Amino acid sequence: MRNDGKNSVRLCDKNGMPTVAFAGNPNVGKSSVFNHLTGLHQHTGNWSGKTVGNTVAKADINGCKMLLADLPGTYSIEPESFEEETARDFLLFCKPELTVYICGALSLERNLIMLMQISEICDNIILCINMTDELKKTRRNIDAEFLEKALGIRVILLSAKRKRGFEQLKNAICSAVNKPEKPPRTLYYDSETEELISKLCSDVNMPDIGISRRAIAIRMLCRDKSFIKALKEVYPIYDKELTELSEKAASSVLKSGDDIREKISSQLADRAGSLIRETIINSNNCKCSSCSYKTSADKILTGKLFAYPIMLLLLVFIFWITVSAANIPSEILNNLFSEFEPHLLSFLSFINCPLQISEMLVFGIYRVVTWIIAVMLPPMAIFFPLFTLLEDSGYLPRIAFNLDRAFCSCGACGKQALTMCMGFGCNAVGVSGCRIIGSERERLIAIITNTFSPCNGRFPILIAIIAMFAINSSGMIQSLILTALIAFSVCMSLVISKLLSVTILKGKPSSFILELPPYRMPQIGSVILRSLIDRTLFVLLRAVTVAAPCGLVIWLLANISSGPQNASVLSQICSFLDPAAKLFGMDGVILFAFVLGLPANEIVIPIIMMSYLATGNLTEYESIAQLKELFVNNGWTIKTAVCTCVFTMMHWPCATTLMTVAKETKSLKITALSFIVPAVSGFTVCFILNIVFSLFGF
Amino acid sequence: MQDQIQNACRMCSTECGQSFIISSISENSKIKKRLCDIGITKGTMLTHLFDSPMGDPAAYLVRNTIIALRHCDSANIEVYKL
Repeated sequence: MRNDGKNSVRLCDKNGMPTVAFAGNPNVGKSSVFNHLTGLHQHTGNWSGKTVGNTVAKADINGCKMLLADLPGTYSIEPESFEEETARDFLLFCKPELTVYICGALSLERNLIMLMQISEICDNIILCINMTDELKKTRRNIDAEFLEKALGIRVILLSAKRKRGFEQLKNAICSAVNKPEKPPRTLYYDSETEELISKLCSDVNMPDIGISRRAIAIRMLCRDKSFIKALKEVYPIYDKELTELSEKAASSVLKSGDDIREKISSQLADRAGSLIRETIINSNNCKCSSCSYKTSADKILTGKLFAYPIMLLLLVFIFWITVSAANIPSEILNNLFSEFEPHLLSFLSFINCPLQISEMLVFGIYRVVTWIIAVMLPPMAIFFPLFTLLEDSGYLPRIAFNLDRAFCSCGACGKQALTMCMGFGCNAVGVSGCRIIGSERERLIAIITNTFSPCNGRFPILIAIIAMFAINSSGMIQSLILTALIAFSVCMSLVISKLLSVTILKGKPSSFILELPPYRMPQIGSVILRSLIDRTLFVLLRAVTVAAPCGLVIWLLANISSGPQNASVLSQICSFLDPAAKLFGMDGVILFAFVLGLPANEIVIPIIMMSYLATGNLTEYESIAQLKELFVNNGWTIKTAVCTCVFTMMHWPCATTLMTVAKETKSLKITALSFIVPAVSGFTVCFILNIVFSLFGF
Repeated sequence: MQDQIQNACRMCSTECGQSFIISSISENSKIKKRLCDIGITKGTMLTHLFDSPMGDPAAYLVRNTIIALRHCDSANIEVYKL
């Protein structure tokens, strides 16, 4: 199984620099604060679990050089998921010089519970309360001085969105790193618990490991198994002492007859509650806490009547903007690239490049790369900023909330809806995002079915095919078709999840706790710009690193000929695959394109085009109508289009995703399954579709 | 005390808009620890805000945050209505 206690210790390579950890509950804006201080551009979003794994970056704050670590959000120092384990291990074993605990002003009360847990294991803490602007809106204020005195921790008020309070935070970090703050005030529990703690403290008979005896005793009394396991892994020499200690703790808990863990955490929660009553100064006359929440939006967006229609309409709307707005830049880019091509050719002959080589460079690499940029970039550069806006608004967790029932009856977790949404960007990212799912079984289901969300590379294939075969329809019809396809892929992942949970990954659905953040107005300008730049860079990088070598290989396959008919290798393979592919409503060329598309699905359409053109080159096409003509001349019918679309959404994941699955699960079996399951289901569905279409005479 | 007994029920059978206080969390609950960590402990006041379109899970206001729980999880929590 996973053993990341050690991994995160390895991450502690500090190069002699002081380390500052950013910890806190999920969705309190840790990454926003981290980005601001480091100048990095970690993705942020208004939902729990956006940050995956620790991100460490160097920073120079007011002249102090230090390492900043952005930890994934956690609800407790007793981890429930792999994500939380990573964060806890970093605090326990990397021993950051300073921990900046970030809170959301609105959720301060809940946030304080974990702060008190952390103050037991960390000495040097700054409490940073973010999103104070949101609290001010409800005419409430925070008495920072009171909180500072009560906790014995420096408190900084911040608004990352309005960029207020960063100077104070920087100063506080810089001074606390150089001269540690006083340790936080020790929290005392009821006398019975204290008695048990002090008794166990005196039983600790190992040298100082940088974790206070009191903290060890408390964790042991809470029966925090993960803590004991992690300590044993990192300090194997104290295995005997730790085992003895945990046995003693177990017996004293048993003797006391109480659930010490519940006692301790309810005392922490009570303390947080009473602190909040003193800290939040309410200048609003209304006393009820629910006033600060307007549930009217949720009444509609998660209501019986409108929840699903709104979800679908939103999807249609986003696709409609994407499909209709992408055409123009696509055309412009395409014209630009084809105009430049003769110049490139003449330049190559000018520098005396052999004809073979220059043809290979231009027809093989240049055309594939530019095709990908022209066709892939515009829809992605439009779709993703829109998607990011949705993410920032806080609507995504509502999707998980609305769909949880369906996922639950399929034996999966509602949070799978979130990882599927991430899969639209990149399946590899979606697969690592599955760490937010606590139950191992449900996490594996989510990993295996993630590839059903058409990613960045496959999405434009769908758009291109729809544009060809619905050429006379309006953008609205095209986006409706696209929505239907996406809805189909969601249904398929539900069906396959169900199948998996009654066969290979048997089990009952586990528990589900999901936080629904308040709706927030996204910062439209910066979000769109950021996500536009990110997507552009991503597509360009993929085009250069993966598509260019693939273009070369395809060109070689198409131009090297052998055998008695002197046919190219490419056409030989395609005609070999043809009979098999026909069973699934496709042809050999399409199937082979998907095989070659393993490193990157972006190149599927260019391969198909190149193979259809007898010359073995990707010739330029002036319009989508010409492209359709080429495809129709090579035997494409509506059946081929539908089967190819379905197969695009349901086939083996790309190589990067497979590698991520292997890394995330450390299991060859699951990696193989995540290849086989989508492939088999894709073939099955296409086979059935083929028969259905044949029955209707296509 | 009399009121508490009279208004006792399981958390899953509360209705939208109702506020209630937790009297106990069953030992059978697999997520008891996690509930405690997010501040759902004995004596905490919650408000049932809204249900998902298919009725399950439901969203509750806890310590000024909204938490969604499935019925099978909230069935393990005993509450009394206010």
